[in-house]
Amino acid sequence: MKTDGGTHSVEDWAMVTASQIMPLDSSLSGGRLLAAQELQLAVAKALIPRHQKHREFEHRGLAAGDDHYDTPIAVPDDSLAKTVAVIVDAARGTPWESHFLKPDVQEAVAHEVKVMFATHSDVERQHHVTSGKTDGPKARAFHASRHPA
Amino acid sequence: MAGTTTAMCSSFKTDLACGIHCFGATVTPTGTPTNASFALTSLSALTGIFLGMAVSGGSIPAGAVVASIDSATQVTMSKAATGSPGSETVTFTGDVFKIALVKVSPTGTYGAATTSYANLTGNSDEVSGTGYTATGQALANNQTPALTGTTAYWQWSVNPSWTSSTFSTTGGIIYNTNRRGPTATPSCAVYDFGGTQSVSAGTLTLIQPTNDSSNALLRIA
Repeated sequence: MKTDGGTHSVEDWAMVTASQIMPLDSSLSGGRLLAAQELQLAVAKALIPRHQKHREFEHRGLAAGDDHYDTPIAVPDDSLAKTVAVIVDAARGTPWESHFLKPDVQEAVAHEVKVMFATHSDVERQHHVTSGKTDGPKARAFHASRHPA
Repeated sequence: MAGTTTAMCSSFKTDLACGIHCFGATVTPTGTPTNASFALTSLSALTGIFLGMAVSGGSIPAGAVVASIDSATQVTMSKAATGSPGSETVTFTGDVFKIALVKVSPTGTYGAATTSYANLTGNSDEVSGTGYTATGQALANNQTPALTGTTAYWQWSVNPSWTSSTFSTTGGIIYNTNRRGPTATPSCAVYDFGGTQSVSAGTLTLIQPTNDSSNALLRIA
């Protein structure tokens, strides 16, 4: 995922997260491919406000000060559950409705969401340093942990 | 032919058999250090603790690692504790892996025969540019390998990203920064990005595949 001139938009995040959750298998064709594309898009649209909320949380925390870098980048369980719920809801009425109702599938979805939201946080925190918005010691330590010499 | 081919490094397979790599996720049981003693006793759990893992805590000196696993509730550290605080949270951390990026039109050939990050630097094939630090990016949060059927698979729980960056790349090499054998910086796998990926004063995020037994970055069937 590449974005020139800044960080990824919430739409970028939503599309990539959706592609992880509802990948378009190369074996799909015709009507089934169309349905899969529509579901992937529906999942992405459902994820936009979740990624927006996540971004706002990070921006508020980073604006508040250096201590935000002590906050784990892991997504709280209730936020994760809500995000999985909107994805399951997006799948209702589609050929994949029963697939997304399975507990093991929801667990896998939760894992992918967790990774993407953690990455979203990670990017916002790195960018806060590299764009010169902070020179705090915890911020610098966070960035150094990702890019040690 | 020069370039990058997605492959698990062959040397990685023999390295695994010799205990060269620890992909264990960070675990934080409680344990009891004793001043001037190498023994860490009364561990609340041994799950996820492996030989060579870094050990840290309030009374544990920097650089300590697990030297031996003595029982279900005790390990011996490589350095003696500096205090006797009673039971406290102790952190055990697996090896630190990095992904180094390959420049456009590399002179070397990277794939199954790659053995070390040094192969990349030896050919001066590592990316350079604004926002990229030589040696690559540390992959955050190891995930302890999982098993589905007969396939073990694992990757990391945060995708690597470079922000405020300007550079181009065609692939990456994942390698271990911890040295447990003859080869410094032993490589794990090489990835071809399928073309030149360029970023200009912006953000490049490498998206790991779905973490399952068919797609995860590292899989052993």
